[in-house]
Amino acid sequence: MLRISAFALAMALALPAWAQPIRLGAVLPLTGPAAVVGTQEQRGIQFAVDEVNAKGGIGGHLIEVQFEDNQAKPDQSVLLFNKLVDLVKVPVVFTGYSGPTLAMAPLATRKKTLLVNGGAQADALDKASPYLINTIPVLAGELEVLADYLFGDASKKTAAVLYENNAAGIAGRDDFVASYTKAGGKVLAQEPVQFGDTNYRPALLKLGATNPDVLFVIITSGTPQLADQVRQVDAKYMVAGNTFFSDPELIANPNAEGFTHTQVLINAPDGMAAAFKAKFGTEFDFFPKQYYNATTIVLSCIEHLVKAGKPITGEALRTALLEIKTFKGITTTVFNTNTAATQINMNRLTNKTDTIIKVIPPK
Amino acid sequence: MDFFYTYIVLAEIYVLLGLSTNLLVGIVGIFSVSQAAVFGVGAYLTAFLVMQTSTPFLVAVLLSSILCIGLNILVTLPSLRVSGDYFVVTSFGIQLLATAVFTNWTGGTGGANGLPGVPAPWIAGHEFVEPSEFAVLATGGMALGCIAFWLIMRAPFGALLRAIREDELAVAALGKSVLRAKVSAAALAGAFAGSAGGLYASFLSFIDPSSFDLDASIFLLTMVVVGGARTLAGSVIGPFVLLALPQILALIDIPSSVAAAARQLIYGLLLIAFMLFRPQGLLGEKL
Amino acid sequence: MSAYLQVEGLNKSFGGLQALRDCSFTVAQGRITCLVGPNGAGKTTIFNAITGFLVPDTGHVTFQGISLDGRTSQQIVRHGIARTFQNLRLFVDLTARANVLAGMQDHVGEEPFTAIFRPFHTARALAAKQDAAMAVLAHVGLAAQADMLVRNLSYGEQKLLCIARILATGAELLLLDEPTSGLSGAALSDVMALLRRLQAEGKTLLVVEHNTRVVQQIADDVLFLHQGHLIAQGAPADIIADPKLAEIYFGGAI
Repeated sequence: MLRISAFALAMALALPAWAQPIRLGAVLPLTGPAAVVGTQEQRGIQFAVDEVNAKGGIGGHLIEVQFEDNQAKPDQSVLLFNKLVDLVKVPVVFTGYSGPTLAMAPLATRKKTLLVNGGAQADALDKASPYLINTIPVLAGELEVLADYLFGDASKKTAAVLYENNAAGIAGRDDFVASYTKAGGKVLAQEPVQFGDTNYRPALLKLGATNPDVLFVIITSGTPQLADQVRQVDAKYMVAGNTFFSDPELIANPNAEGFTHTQVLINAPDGMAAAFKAKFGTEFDFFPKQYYNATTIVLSCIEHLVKAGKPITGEALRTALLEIKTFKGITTTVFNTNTAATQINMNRLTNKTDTIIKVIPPK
Repeated sequence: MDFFYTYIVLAEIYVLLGLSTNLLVGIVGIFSVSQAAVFGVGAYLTAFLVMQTSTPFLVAVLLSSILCIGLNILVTLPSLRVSGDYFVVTSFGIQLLATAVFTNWTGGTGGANGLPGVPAPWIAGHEFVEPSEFAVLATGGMALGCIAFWLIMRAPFGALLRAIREDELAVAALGKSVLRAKVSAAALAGAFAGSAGGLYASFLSFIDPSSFDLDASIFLLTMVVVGGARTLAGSVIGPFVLLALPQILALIDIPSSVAAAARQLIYGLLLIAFMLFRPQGLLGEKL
Repeated sequence: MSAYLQVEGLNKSFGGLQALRDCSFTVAQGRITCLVGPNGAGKTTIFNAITGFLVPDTGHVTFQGISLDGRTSQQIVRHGIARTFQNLRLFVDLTARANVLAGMQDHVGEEPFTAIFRPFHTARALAAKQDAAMAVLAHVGLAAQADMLVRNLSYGEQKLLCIARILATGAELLLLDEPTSGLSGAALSDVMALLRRLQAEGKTLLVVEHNTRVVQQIADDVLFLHQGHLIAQGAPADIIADPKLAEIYFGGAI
């Protein structure tokens, strides 16, 4: 008996270190109203991890991700962050949604754990923690590009704003107004609409009465209905928006002809999109792409550390990320600060396709 | 251990909220679905005071409690005129109103983006930043709340409140002021909710309207019902059980693509089964 | 000198229904006065008007020379008038003792401030009140049931407890709404004996009563109410012997 145990022990000790999996954590809304986005983000992470594991992992280590459901609530997020760091001892926690991310940010600083956000764009995320890495530009960065384009290239000197009355909408409105005014433009009017409400006519009529050159729209849903109603009120102004306009349903709508928007674009190779769809049964849309990109960035930092024979800690990962600085994955992502600069495109919807009219490379 | 202490702190803060909800709903019979709104006001006021005016933590929590006393009296007043089912509608309206203010008053609450950077409490030169340290504060707060609850329940005031829940008219016929008793209970419930809000904001360092919405109010009611209405022990055990339950369910191995949804389903089924087989809650009386 | 309780010219209408119509009477101190009349005569409405649960359209109520007009039910209890309800309205999820305690006045710690900040004072005062509550229960014969939940008491015991609860308020004038209804045998004689005992102790009783035998046995005076108006007043034997009143009372059955 004793000899067998001793043998087993010897075997265990003899097991090479590479057999140990590397565990990462993710705190995402997997149930509740925000789960629509949270599960897409989860799939993006899983897709990237599966891809690496299929090739044998990193330096022999398989990657495992422990997903925790925070229902987009800040208190649950803090609890689950501590769980992942304390019990699972993960060096990295993926996050989405600005509220939960802001709640976890001070913990990331204290625990020196890397917090990786690939989807939320609230401006406060920019400076929330040195350990918070945003792999997507904050909204202000994207809307600055849009405001400059509209005032400069497109010569639209006056604007009206239609925004969704929630976090993203209000932040977007404020960012746009600030950048557009700074560029020299004049904002004539602003109108809120409620999330999920698809009757925009009253707001459009009020805004149209001010006769703006351009209507800036920041709503997360209902853009196809908006396009129909813009046509119905026979609007003379240009309609401009952000990434939210990259909705396939909107692109297919003939009434959206001429809609102009910024896009934090990631072009997935065809084979990858098909593989994703085969695996999860859903499209390789905005959020899965962003989280796929975020995950590949983290994985290349891990690879860097494994190759150098260094322990994989949050602190080491952060140092590695800022050293590597430029990541050429499915899109080029540059970290001059802890918030990424990525390529931003100006697009226009023409003949039911979303066409790039100008490319603004990462600064 | 931070995970454990975080759980303890959150559960203890929710115990204060459970006491607040139990007092109004369980004991007096005022079916409020807006306790999370009062909780939110306490959280935002404490955050404002410590961030903008450098008020010491304990003073800020005290002021928040005082404001919430007044606020809770105000939002409970309709229950004196409209009774039972009708008050639920009024209370629902108050909750929606509060959420609208939390979400849209960008200057005061940070709006839907929330309010980051609420500093950790400083008391007598010591900063309570780690969960293990904060647990001392939360335990103290919970203990004070429990003692106050216990004292009123064994005093004639507690008996008066129970009598009011059974028959207001009979209480009035015995020469007692139903109005004054209800206002006092609402005040006390407000103080509990307000101080819980202050602790919550300081512990998380970040607050947004999602913690103080209708869902949160319903969660408070669920805690009281599961723990046990009308008893101190029920108010204490409810939050500890309901906060632990998702963590226990997380131990069940389910293929990851449906895990979260499946666990949510089990959670719902457990609540239904619980109400069918134990309507009085774990340590309480039947509502 | 004015009467102990004086009711003068009360009128009250609910929509089109005139519940009280120029209703006047007096109640003498230390006596048992029975209020009789057919259903809907306005007996309970009179109780509500006297105890402040209902504001009459016109008329006055005076107790021991003090006007009760515009007083709340709470103030009226403090003046020494308490009432029971036809449908009991006991706190059925509380014990018999707790019901009696709820009737007692001037509790220490009946508001949160004293309850929380002076717990020992509150506890001592409550202990004293507990003894007094037990004495009241013993007085009505419910000492053994003190710690039972009211919902587990018999109907007769509940009827006695209603009286105990208003005795605990310290009231001098007791308004009893059908204290014997639904009772028979021993339970009925228990209540009747209690009413006589209360009278002997100096209480004044105004009793709504349907049972003519009970009226005959306990009443000193009888007030006969019909359609919200006092139509006869006198000794029980006289009232019961009046064939015109019997006709009204029994709806022409005899």
